Amino acid sequence: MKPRPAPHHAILADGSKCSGCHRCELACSLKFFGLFGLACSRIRIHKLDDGYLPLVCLACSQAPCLDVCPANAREVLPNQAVDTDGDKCIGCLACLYICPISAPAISPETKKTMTCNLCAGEEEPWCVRACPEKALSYLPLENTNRELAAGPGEYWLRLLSPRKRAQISPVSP
Amino acid sequence: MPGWIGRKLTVNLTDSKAEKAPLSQAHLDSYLGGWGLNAAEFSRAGSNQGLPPPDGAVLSLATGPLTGTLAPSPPITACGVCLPVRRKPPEGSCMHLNFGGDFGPILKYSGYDQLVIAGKAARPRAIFIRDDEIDFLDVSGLDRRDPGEIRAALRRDSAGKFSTLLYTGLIAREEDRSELALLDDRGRLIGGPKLASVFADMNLIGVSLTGSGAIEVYDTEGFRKIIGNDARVFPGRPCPCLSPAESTLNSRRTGQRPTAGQNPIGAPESGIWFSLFPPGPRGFSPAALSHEEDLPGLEENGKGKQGLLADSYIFGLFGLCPTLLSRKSRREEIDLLLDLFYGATGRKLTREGFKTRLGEILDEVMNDENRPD
Repeated sequence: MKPRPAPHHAILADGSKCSGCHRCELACSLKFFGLFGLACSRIRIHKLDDGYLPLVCLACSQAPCLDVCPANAREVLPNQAVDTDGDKCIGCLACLYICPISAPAISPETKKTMTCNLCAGEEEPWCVRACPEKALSYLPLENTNRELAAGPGEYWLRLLSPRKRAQISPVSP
Repeated sequence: MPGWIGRKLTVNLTDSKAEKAPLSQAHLDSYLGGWGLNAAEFSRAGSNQGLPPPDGAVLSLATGPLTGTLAPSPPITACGVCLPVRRKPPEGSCMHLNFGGDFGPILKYSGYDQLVIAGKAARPRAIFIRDDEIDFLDVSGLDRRDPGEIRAALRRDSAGKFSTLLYTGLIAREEDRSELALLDDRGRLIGGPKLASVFADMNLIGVSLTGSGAIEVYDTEGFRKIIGNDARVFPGRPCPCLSPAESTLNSRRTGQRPTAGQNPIGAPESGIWFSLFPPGPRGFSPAALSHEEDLPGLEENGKGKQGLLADSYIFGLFGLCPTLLSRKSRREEIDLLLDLFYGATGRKLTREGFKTRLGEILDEVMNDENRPD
């Protein structure tokens, strides 16, 4: 896998606080599409048996999606977030399948993948601002937690029980 | 059609047919949404073409122009869904109520502003609406009393992330009593036995909804500005309907379901806390809206009884929950509401025009309503 610098920030979710209100999803769809719709969002609320789980790309330091893309469409942005270059993407969804938390979403317009870019240029991502339960946090990773900074995706995934992992559907409808 | 989808879905359980009909801009402008659309559906004086056979129950769920948007208050997906019901006995009586949750928004995302269900199925049925695709499933094999089994079955057949449910089942009312109720995807109580009995009359077990569409608003930038920058809109308070109650959090920690004492009417299957919206409109007068500054502060949040009842109407019409607005006065609240209405639909509505129209709609609702207590 291609090594790359650790991301400066990441959106971390606390599933125990999430009430499943979908407000983060609507804020995201408004930001990027100018519409309100769950399918237009880059952050997803997964329904689990015992609650809700917000999932969003955590910009892993060793992101498997970067290597698996046959069209080299996955790109690292200046803020170290990973997103899909729509011009290069061929819509094979390989990045979605290989992501351990199925973070890439499928654009309803292009049917290609799209990923959270941490609202590049904004002080704080819209989803974090919209969350009334404070279940989402936008955290600087460099000094707060070395383990998180090394690979937030992997770290976060380890917190999930196998039962919860099994409930995360790999592909969006 | 900004703020609206412009379509109505009518489902007839008797012959398992579904019909999609357009809703005109003039009709939507005239009835504003939610209760207004339902009043039009049920009103004897209104446009009741296509009214289902009068000898059975009819259920109409209508959304408002702000339903499913990031409009203020409840964690934004709060909906203004109304459930007027006409059934016997008494003949022609009509019941209206609001409920929150994600059924309303997802109804719009699936491409409909209004869902009307009528007729009676020969065998227990569940309706599956996946955007344009409507299916009827025979669920005779399910235990109709067990909400957990019904929810699991409906979820299994519609496991998408953009889905929600409305279904009936027996819930624990007291330690030794149970009653039929209408529940949503979270296990929240939507309606009590009277409403659930309408489902039972129709032989309808539940409705599963999947919506992968989106809602367009008229003035995206204006709307974005209001919800992003306006201190009136983002009080940062979670919605009481959706937030987990202490009993639910305890049950998550301990792995035990809340008892009837902890969660008096709660759905034992999920343990999710719920709240019913304030009592209905009986006794409300539209005149309350003309005394914005004089509302008595009976409630903790500073709203008076009349204000609460007025809220119930506004919620039902526009599709937003006003309980969490950080407003100082009724005047400010209505100004904000009209700003949002304009941002969503592009229709200018003056304060006076709104009050007049609201009064007319409510008169229509009241005339058609004979709510049993």
